[in-house]
Amino acid sequence: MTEDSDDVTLVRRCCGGDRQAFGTLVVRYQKTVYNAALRMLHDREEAKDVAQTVFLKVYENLGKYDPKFKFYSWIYRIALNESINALQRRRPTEGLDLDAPDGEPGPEESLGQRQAHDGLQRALMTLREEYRAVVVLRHFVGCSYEDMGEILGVPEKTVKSRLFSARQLLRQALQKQGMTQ
Amino acid sequence: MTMDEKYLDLIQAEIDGCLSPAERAELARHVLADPHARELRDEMRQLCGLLDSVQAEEPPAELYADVMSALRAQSRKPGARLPAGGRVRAYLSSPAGFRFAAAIVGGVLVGTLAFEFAGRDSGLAPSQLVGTMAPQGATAAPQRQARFDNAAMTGSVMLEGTTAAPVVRVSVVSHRDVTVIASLDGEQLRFDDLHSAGSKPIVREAAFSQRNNRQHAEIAVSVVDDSGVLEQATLGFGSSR
Repeated sequence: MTEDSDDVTLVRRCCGGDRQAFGTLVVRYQKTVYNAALRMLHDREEAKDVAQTVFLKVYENLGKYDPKFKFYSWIYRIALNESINALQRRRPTEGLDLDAPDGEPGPEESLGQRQAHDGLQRALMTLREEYRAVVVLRHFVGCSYEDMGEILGVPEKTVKSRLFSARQLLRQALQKQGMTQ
Repeated sequence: MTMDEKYLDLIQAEIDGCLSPAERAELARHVLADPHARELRDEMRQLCGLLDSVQAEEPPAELYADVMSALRAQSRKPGARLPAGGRVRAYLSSPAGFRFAAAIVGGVLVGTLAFEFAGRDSGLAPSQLVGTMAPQGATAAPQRQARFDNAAMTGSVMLEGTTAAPVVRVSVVSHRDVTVIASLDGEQLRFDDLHSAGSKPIVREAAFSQRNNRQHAEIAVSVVDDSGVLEQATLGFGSSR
Protein backbone atom coordinates (compact mmCIF):
# COMPACT_ATOMS: atom_id res chain seq x y z
CA MET A 1 0.00 0.00 0.00
CA THR A 2 2.53 2.59 -1.07
CA GLU A 3 0.66 4.04 -3.99
CA ASP A 4 -1.51 6.55 -2.20
CA SER A 5 0.24 9.70 -3.45
CA ASP A 6 0.02 8.29 -6.94
CA ASP A 7 -3.67 7.60 -6.32
CA VAL A 8 -4.20 11.24 -5.38
CA THR A 9 -2.55 12.32 -8.63
CA LEU A 10 -4.89 10.04 -10.54
CA VAL A 11 -7.86 11.41 -8.62
CA ARG A 12 -6.81 14.92 -9.61
CA ARG A 13 -6.63 13.87 -13.23
CA CYS A 14 -10.07 12.28 -12.97
CA CYS A 15 -11.32 15.54 -11.51
CA GLY A 16 -10.05 17.27 -14.61
CA GLY A 17 -12.30 15.04 -16.72
CA ASP A 18 -9.69 12.42 -17.57
CA ARG A 19 -11.70 9.23 -17.58
CA GLN A 20 -8.68 7.11 -18.47
CA ALA A 21 -7.06 8.11 -15.18
CA PHE A 22 -10.09 6.60 -13.52
CA GLY A 23 -9.54 3.49 -15.65
CA THR A 24 -6.09 3.21 -14.12
CA LEU A 25 -7.63 3.32 -10.64
CA VAL A 26 -10.09 0.60 -11.66
CA VAL A 27 -7.26 -1.60 -12.93
CA ARG A 28 -5.31 -0.97 -9.73
CA TYR A 29 -8.11 -1.79 -7.30
CA GLN A 30 -10.47 -4.14 -9.12
CA LYS A 31 -8.84 -7.32 -7.83
CA THR A 32 -8.82 -6.28 -4.17
CA VAL A 33 -12.31 -4.81 -4.28
CA TYR A 34 -13.69 -7.89 -6.03
CA ASN A 35 -12.01 -10.27 -3.59
CA ALA A 36 -13.15 -8.30 -0.55
CA ALA A 37 -16.72 -8.44 -1.84
CA LEU A 38 -16.35 -12.12 -2.70
CA ARG A 39 -15.23 -13.00 0.84
CA MET A 40 -18.01 -10.90 2.36
CA LEU A 41 -20.69 -12.37 0.09
CA HIS A 42 -19.49 -15.83 -0.99
CA ASP A 43 -21.10 -15.27 -4.37
CA ARG A 44 -19.09 -14.41 -7.48
CA GLU A 45 -21.91 -12.80 -9.41
CA GLU A 46 -22.90 -10.59 -6.48
CA ALA A 47 -19.26 -9.75 -5.85
CA LYS A 48 -18.88 -8.61 -9.44
CA ASP A 49 -22.02 -6.46 -9.18
CA VAL A 50 -20.81 -4.96 -5.92
CA ALA A 51 -17.38 -4.22 -7.39
CA GLN A 52 -18.99 -2.46 -10.33
CA THR A 53 -21.23 -0.44 -8.01
CA VAL A 54 -18.24 0.49 -5.87
CA PHE A 55 -16.33 1.97 -8.81
CA LEU A 56 -19.36 3.86 -10.08
CA LYS A 57 -19.97 5.30 -6.60
CA VAL A 58 -16.33 6.24 -6.29
CA TYR A 59 -16.49 8.02 -9.62
CA GLU A 60 -19.70 9.82 -8.72
CA ASN A 61 -18.29 10.97 -5.42
CA LEU A 62 -14.72 11.85 -6.39
CA GLY A 63 -15.56 15.48 -5.75
CA LYS A 64 -16.24 14.60 -2.12
CA TYR A 65 -13.02 12.65 -1.63
CA ASP A 66 -10.88 14.26 1.05
CA PRO A 67 -7.19 13.66 0.24
CA LYS A 68 -6.25 13.85 3.90
CA PHE A 69 -7.53 10.25 4.04
CA LYS A 70 -5.91 7.44 2.10
CA PHE A 71 -7.66 6.76 -1.19
CA TYR A 72 -7.60 3.02 -0.67
CA SER A 73 -9.20 3.40 2.77
CA TRP A 74 -12.02 5.28 1.12
CA ILE A 75 -12.55 2.75 -1.66
CA TYR A 76 -12.39 -0.23 0.72
CA ARG A 77 -14.89 1.43 3.05
CA ILE A 78 -17.29 1.80 0.11
CA ALA A 79 -16.62 -1.82 -0.86
CA LEU A 80 -17.49 -3.07 2.62
CA ASN A 81 -20.59 -0.90 2.85
CA GLU A 82 -21.82 -2.06 -0.53
CA SER A 83 -21.17 -5.70 0.41
CA ILE A 84 -23.15 -5.26 3.61
CA ASN A 85 -25.95 -3.60 1.66
CA ALA A 86 -25.99 -6.60 -0.69
CA LEU A 87 -26.16 -8.98 2.27
CA GLN A 88 -29.06 -7.03 3.73
CA ARG A 89 -30.90 -7.04 0.40
CA ARG A 90 -30.63 -10.81 0.11
CA ARG A 91 -31.56 -11.51 3.72
CA PRO A 92 -35.38 -11.41 3.69
CA THR A 93 -35.91 -13.76 0.77
CA GLU A 94 -32.88 -15.93 0.29
CA GLY A 95 -30.42 -17.71 2.46
CA LEU A 96 -26.90 -18.46 1.43
CA ASP A 97 -26.30 -21.97 0.20
CA LEU A 98 -23.31 -22.76 2.31
CA ASP A 99 -22.97 -26.17 0.72
CA ALA A 100 -22.64 -24.73 -2.74
CA PRO A 101 -19.36 -25.56 -4.44
CA ASP A 102 -16.89 -22.75 -4.49
CA GLY A 103 -15.95 -22.94 -8.15
CA GLU A 104 -12.92 -24.52 -9.70
CA PRO A 105 -9.82 -24.96 -7.58
CA GLY A 106 -7.06 -22.50 -8.31
CA PRO A 107 -4.11 -23.66 -10.39
CA GLU A 108 -1.93 -24.18 -7.33
CA GLU A 109 -4.67 -25.41 -5.02
CA SER A 110 -4.73 -29.10 -4.06
CA LEU A 111 -7.96 -30.93 -3.29
CA GLY A 112 -7.18 -30.83 0.44
CA GLN A 113 -6.49 -27.11 0.32
CA ARG A 114 -9.62 -26.55 -1.67
CA GLN A 115 -11.72 -28.36 0.97
CA ALA A 116 -10.01 -26.39 3.72
CA HIS A 117 -10.65 -23.11 1.92
CA ASP A 118 -14.29 -24.01 1.28
CA GLY A 119 -14.71 -24.84 4.97
CA LEU A 120 -13.04 -21.59 5.89
CA GLN A 121 -15.36 -19.57 3.67
CA ARG A 122 -18.39 -21.35 5.15
CA ALA A 123 -17.11 -20.56 8.63
CA LEU A 124 -16.51 -16.96 7.62
CA MET A 125 -20.12 -16.67 6.50
CA THR A 126 -21.33 -17.63 9.97
CA LEU A 127 -19.69 -14.53 11.47
CA ARG A 128 -21.57 -11.31 12.01
CA GLU A 129 -20.77 -8.73 9.36
CA GLU A 130 -18.63 -6.57 11.66
CA TYR A 131 -16.45 -9.57 12.50
CA ARG A 132 -16.31 -10.81 8.92
CA ALA A 133 -15.27 -7.35 7.81
CA VAL A 134 -12.19 -7.23 10.05
CA VAL A 135 -11.08 -10.69 8.92
CA VAL A 136 -11.54 -9.70 5.28
CA LEU A 137 -9.64 -6.45 5.73
CA ARG A 138 -6.76 -8.08 7.58
CA HIS A 139 -6.34 -11.31 5.65
CA PHE A 140 -7.75 -10.69 2.17
CA VAL A 141 -7.04 -6.99 1.72
CA GLY A 142 -3.86 -6.85 3.82
CA CYS A 143 -4.71 -3.81 5.91
CA SER A 144 -2.81 -2.68 8.98
CA TYR A 145 -4.63 -2.02 12.25
CA GLU A 146 -4.39 1.70 11.50
CA ASP A 147 -5.89 1.29 8.02
CA MET A 148 -8.67 -0.87 9.42
CA GLY A 149 -9.47 1.78 12.00
CA GLU A 150 -9.69 4.42 9.28
CA ILE A 151 -11.84 2.23 7.05
CA LEU A 152 -14.21 1.15 9.81
CA GLY A 153 -14.21 4.47 11.63
CA VAL A 154 -13.25 2.92 14.98
CA PRO A 155 -10.17 3.25 17.21
CA GLU A 156 -7.28 0.82 16.73
CA LYS A 157 -8.00 -0.73 20.10
CA THR A 158 -11.49 -1.63 18.90
CA VAL A 159 -10.00 -3.08 15.72
CA LYS A 160 -7.69 -5.34 17.72
CA SER A 161 -10.40 -6.50 20.05
CA ARG A 162 -12.84 -7.12 17.21
CA LEU A 163 -10.23 -9.01 15.22
CA PHE A 164 -9.37 -11.20 18.19
CA SER A 165 -13.05 -12.04 18.76
CA ALA A 166 -13.56 -12.69 15.06
CA ARG A 167 -10.65 -15.11 14.93
CA GLN A 168 -11.87 -16.93 18.01
CA LEU A 169 -15.37 -17.26 16.53
CA LEU A 170 -13.92 -18.40 13.23
CA ARG A 171 -11.85 -21.04 14.98
CA GLN A 172 -14.93 -22.30 16.82
CA ALA A 173 -16.93 -22.40 13.60
CA LEU A 174 -14.20 -24.47 11.97
CA GLN A 175 -14.16 -26.83 14.93
CA LYS A 176 -17.92 -27.29 14.56
CA GLN A 177 -17.31 -28.36 10.98
CA GLY A 178 -14.85 -30.93 12.24
CA MET A 179 -11.90 -29.12 10.76
CA THR A 180 -8.81 -29.50 12.89
CA GLN A 181 -7.86 -26.24 14.44
CA MET B 1 -9.82 -20.55 29.97
CA THR B 2 -8.90 -17.12 31.19
CA MET B 3 -5.77 -15.31 30.25
CA ASP B 4 -4.35 -11.92 30.95
CA GLU B 5 -5.58 -9.57 28.22
CA LYS B 6 -2.06 -8.35 27.77
CA TYR B 7 -0.94 -11.77 26.53
CA LEU B 8 -3.93 -12.11 24.25
CA ASP B 9 -2.86 -8.82 22.68
CA LEU B 10 0.71 -10.03 22.38
CA ILE B 11 -0.34 -13.30 20.73
CA GLN B 12 -2.39 -11.42 18.18
CA ALA B 13 0.32 -8.83 17.62
CA GLU B 14 2.83 -11.63 17.00
CA ILE B 15 0.56 -13.19 14.39
CA ASP B 16 0.09 -9.83 12.71
CA GLY B 17 3.80 -9.06 12.77
CA CYS B 18 3.52 -6.12 15.15
CA LEU B 19 5.68 -7.26 18.07
CA SER B 20 8.77 -5.44 19.23
CA PRO B 21 11.78 -7.62 20.19
CA ALA B 22 11.12 -6.96 23.87
CA GLU B 23 7.47 -7.97 23.54
CA ARG B 24 8.47 -11.06 21.58
CA ALA B 25 10.81 -12.13 24.36
CA GLU B 26 8.12 -11.52 26.97
CA LEU B 27 5.61 -13.58 25.04
CA ALA B 28 8.12 -16.39 24.54
CA ARG B 29 8.70 -16.56 28.29
CA HIS B 30 4.98 -16.56 28.95
CA VAL B 31 4.06 -19.34 26.53
CA LEU B 32 6.86 -21.50 27.94
CA ALA B 33 5.33 -21.15 31.36
CA ASP B 34 1.66 -21.35 30.38
CA PRO B 35 0.43 -24.30 28.30
CA HIS B 36 -2.95 -22.62 27.72
CA ALA B 37 -1.24 -19.62 26.19
CA ARG B 38 0.90 -21.93 24.04
CA GLU B 39 -2.16 -23.84 22.84
CA LEU B 40 -4.03 -20.64 22.03
CA ARG B 41 -1.07 -19.22 20.14
CA ASP B 42 -0.69 -22.42 18.09
CA GLU B 43 -4.39 -22.47 17.23
CA MET B 44 -4.39 -18.84 16.19
CA ARG B 45 -1.29 -19.36 14.09
CA GLN B 46 -2.91 -22.31 12.32
CA LEU B 47 -6.07 -20.35 11.65
CA CYS B 48 -4.22 -17.33 10.31
CA GLY B 49 -1.97 -19.54 8.22
CA LEU B 50 -5.08 -21.04 6.65
CA LEU B 51 -6.58 -17.60 6.04
CA ASP B 52 -3.39 -16.35 4.45
CA SER B 53 -3.13 -19.41 2.20
CA VAL B 54 -6.31 -18.47 0.33
CA GLN B 55 -5.32 -17.15 -3.08
CA ALA B 56 -6.97 -14.01 -4.36
CA GLU B 57 -9.13 -14.65 -7.40
CA GLU B 58 -8.82 -12.69 -10.60
CA PRO B 59 -11.79 -10.37 -11.07
CA PRO B 60 -14.13 -11.20 -13.96
CA ALA B 61 -12.56 -10.14 -17.22
CA GLU B 62 -15.52 -7.98 -18.14
CA LEU B 63 -15.53 -5.96 -14.89
CA TYR B 64 -13.25 -3.21 -16.16
CA ALA B 65 -15.06 -2.90 -19.47
CA ASP B 66 -18.46 -2.86 -17.74
CA VAL B 67 -17.38 -0.10 -15.36
CA MET B 68 -15.94 2.08 -18.09
CA SER B 69 -18.92 1.45 -20.32
CA ALA B 70 -21.34 2.34 -17.50
CA LEU B 71 -19.41 5.55 -16.83
CA ARG B 72 -19.65 6.51 -20.44
CA ALA B 73 -23.39 5.83 -20.51
CA GLN B 74 -23.95 7.57 -17.20
CA SER B 75 -22.15 10.78 -18.12
CA ARG B 76 -24.10 11.03 -21.36
CA LYS B 77 -27.49 11.00 -19.67
CA PRO B 78 -29.13 14.41 -19.76
CA GLY B 79 -29.16 15.83 -16.27
CA ALA B 80 -26.92 13.07 -14.93
CA ARG B 81 -24.61 14.20 -12.18
CA LEU B 82 -21.36 14.94 -13.94
CA PRO B 83 -18.26 14.76 -11.82
CA ALA B 84 -16.75 17.94 -13.21
CA GLY B 85 -18.87 20.41 -11.25
CA GLY B 86 -18.37 18.72 -7.91
CA ARG B 87 -14.74 18.23 -8.66
CA VAL B 88 -14.14 21.87 -9.43
CA ARG B 89 -15.90 22.87 -6.23
CA ALA B 90 -13.67 20.40 -4.45
CA TYR B 91 -10.60 22.03 -5.98
CA LEU B 92 -11.63 25.45 -4.87
CA SER B 93 -12.20 24.39 -1.29
CA SER B 94 -9.29 21.98 -1.03
CA PRO B 95 -5.76 22.51 0.30
CA ALA B 96 -3.32 24.58 -1.69
CA GLY B 97 -1.70 21.48 -3.15
CA PHE B 98 -4.83 20.91 -5.15
CA ARG B 99 -5.43 24.44 -6.23
CA PHE B 100 -2.91 24.55 -9.05
CA ALA B 101 -5.09 22.05 -10.84
CA ALA B 102 -7.91 24.56 -10.91
CA ALA B 103 -6.07 26.49 -13.59
CA ILE B 104 -5.74 23.39 -15.71
CA VAL B 105 -9.37 22.47 -15.41
CA GLY B 106 -10.67 26.01 -15.49
CA GLY B 107 -12.42 25.24 -18.73
CA VAL B 108 -14.43 22.62 -16.91
CA LEU B 109 -16.23 25.43 -15.11
CA VAL B 110 -18.36 26.02 -18.14
CA GLY B 111 -20.15 22.82 -17.22
CA THR B 112 -21.37 19.83 -19.10
CA LEU B 113 -20.13 20.79 -22.53
CA ALA B 114 -16.67 21.36 -21.24
CA PHE B 115 -16.69 17.98 -19.52
CA GLU B 116 -17.84 16.23 -22.67
CA PHE B 117 -15.07 17.92 -24.60
CA ALA B 118 -12.48 16.90 -22.03
CA GLY B 119 -13.74 13.31 -21.98
CA ARG B 120 -13.54 13.08 -25.74
CA ASP B 121 -10.30 14.81 -26.36
CA SER B 122 -8.25 14.30 -23.22
CA GLY B 123 -5.58 12.88 -25.51
CA LEU B 124 -4.25 10.33 -23.04
CA ALA B 125 -2.96 7.36 -24.91
CA PRO B 126 -4.11 3.89 -23.93
CA SER B 127 -0.51 3.07 -23.12
CA GLN B 128 -0.82 5.42 -20.14
CA LEU B 129 -3.57 3.18 -18.86
CA VAL B 130 -1.97 -0.23 -18.75
CA GLY B 131 1.52 0.01 -20.11
CA THR B 132 1.90 -2.19 -23.12
CA MET B 133 -0.94 -0.90 -25.27
CA ALA B 134 0.78 1.29 -27.82
CA PRO B 135 -1.47 3.45 -29.97
CA GLN B 136 -0.60 4.40 -33.51
CA GLY B 137 0.31 8.01 -33.97
CA ALA B 138 0.38 10.70 -31.34
CA THR B 139 -2.69 12.73 -32.04
CA ALA B 140 -4.85 14.38 -29.44
CA ALA B 141 -7.94 12.59 -30.71
CA PRO B 142 -9.15 9.29 -29.21
CA GLN B 143 -7.20 6.34 -30.60
CA ARG B 144 -8.80 4.24 -33.31
CA GLN B 145 -6.32 1.45 -32.90
CA ALA B 146 -4.44 -0.21 -30.07
CA ARG B 147 -1.54 -2.57 -30.62
CA PHE B 148 -0.46 -5.13 -28.10
CA ASP B 149 2.58 -7.26 -27.66
CA ASN B 150 2.97 -9.44 -24.61
CA ALA B 151 4.00 -12.95 -23.66
CA ALA B 152 0.65 -14.41 -24.70
CA MET B 153 -0.01 -12.65 -27.98
CA THR B 154 0.64 -9.90 -30.47
CA GLY B 155 -1.90 -8.05 -32.57
CA SER B 156 -4.21 -5.11 -32.70
CA VAL B 157 -7.77 -3.96 -32.14
CA MET B 158 -9.07 -1.46 -34.70
CA LEU B 159 -12.19 0.67 -34.59
CA GLU B 160 -13.92 1.03 -37.96
CA GLY B 161 -17.34 2.04 -39.25
CA THR B 162 -18.93 5.22 -37.98
CA THR B 163 -19.70 6.76 -34.61
CA ALA B 164 -23.33 5.71 -35.00
CA ALA B 165 -22.43 2.17 -36.11
CA PRO B 166 -19.00 1.21 -34.79
CA VAL B 167 -17.27 -1.92 -36.03
CA VAL B 168 -14.45 -3.62 -34.14
CA ARG B 169 -11.77 -5.47 -36.07
CA VAL B 170 -9.38 -7.76 -34.21
CA SER B 171 -6.15 -9.20 -35.59
CA VAL B 172 -4.30 -11.57 -33.29
CA VAL B 173 -1.41 -14.01 -33.29
CA SER B 174 -1.61 -16.11 -30.16
CA HIS B 175 -0.47 -19.57 -29.24
CA ARG B 176 -3.02 -19.96 -26.49
CA ASP B 177 -6.69 -19.07 -26.13
CA VAL B 178 -7.29 -15.40 -25.61
CA THR B 179 -10.51 -13.41 -25.75
CA VAL B 180 -11.02 -9.81 -26.79
CA ILE B 181 -14.03 -8.03 -25.26
CA ALA B 182 -15.21 -4.68 -26.61
CA SER B 183 -17.93 -2.79 -24.71
CA LEU B 184 -20.03 0.17 -25.70
CA ASP B 185 -22.84 1.52 -23.52
CA GLY B 186 -23.55 -1.86 -21.94
CA GLU B 187 -23.33 -3.90 -25.15
CA GLN B 188 -20.43 -6.33 -25.49
CA LEU B 189 -18.72 -7.86 -28.49
CA ARG B 190 -16.74 -10.97 -27.57
CA PHE B 191 -14.08 -12.48 -29.78
CA ASP B 192 -13.47 -15.85 -28.14
CA ASP B 193 -10.85 -18.55 -28.66
CA LEU B 194 -8.38 -16.43 -30.59
CA HIS B 195 -5.78 -19.17 -30.90
CA SER B 196 -3.71 -19.13 -34.07
CA ALA B 197 -2.09 -22.26 -35.45
CA GLY B 198 1.06 -20.54 -36.71
CA SER B 199 2.23 -17.01 -37.36
CA LYS B 200 -0.79 -16.15 -39.52
CA PRO B 201 -3.04 -13.77 -37.60
CA ILE B 202 -6.64 -14.57 -36.83
CA VAL B 203 -8.75 -11.68 -38.07
CA ARG B 204 -12.30 -11.16 -36.87
CA GLU B 205 -14.73 -8.33 -37.17
CA ALA B 206 -18.09 -7.54 -35.60
CA ALA B 207 -20.42 -4.57 -35.38
CA PHE B 208 -22.32 -3.25 -32.41
CA SER B 209 -26.03 -3.78 -32.91
CA GLN B 210 -26.93 -0.46 -31.33
CA ARG B 211 -27.78 2.16 -33.87
CA ASN B 212 -28.42 5.71 -32.81
CA ASN B 213 -27.40 9.23 -33.50
CA ARG B 214 -24.66 9.33 -30.93
CA GLN B 215 -22.02 11.98 -31.31
CA HIS B 216 -19.31 9.97 -29.57
CA ALA B 217 -18.46 6.30 -29.31
CA GLU B 218 -15.98 5.34 -26.62
CA ILE B 219 -15.28 1.64 -26.58
CA ALA B 220 -13.59 -0.14 -23.69
CA VAL B 221 -11.44 -3.05 -24.84
CA SER B 222 -10.09 -5.87 -22.67
CA VAL B 223 -7.86 -8.74 -23.77
CA VAL B 224 -8.07 -11.70 -21.39
CA ASP B 225 -6.94 -15.27 -21.01
CA ASP B 226 -7.34 -17.90 -18.29
CA SER B 227 -4.93 -16.05 -16.05
CA GLY B 228 -6.88 -12.80 -16.17
CA VAL B 229 -6.69 -9.47 -17.92
CA LEU B 230 -3.73 -9.06 -20.28
CA GLU B 231 -4.45 -5.68 -21.79
CA GLN B 232 -7.00 -2.90 -21.49
CA ALA B 233 -7.57 0.23 -23.55
CA THR B 234 -10.20 2.67 -24.67
CA LEU B 235 -10.84 3.36 -28.33
CA GLY B 236 -12.90 6.13 -29.85
CA PHE B 237 -13.58 8.13 -32.98
CA GLY B 238 -11.92 11.47 -33.40
CA SER B 239 -13.99 14.62 -33.53
CA SER B 240 -13.60 14.68 -37.30
CA ARG B 241 -15.77 11.62 -37.64
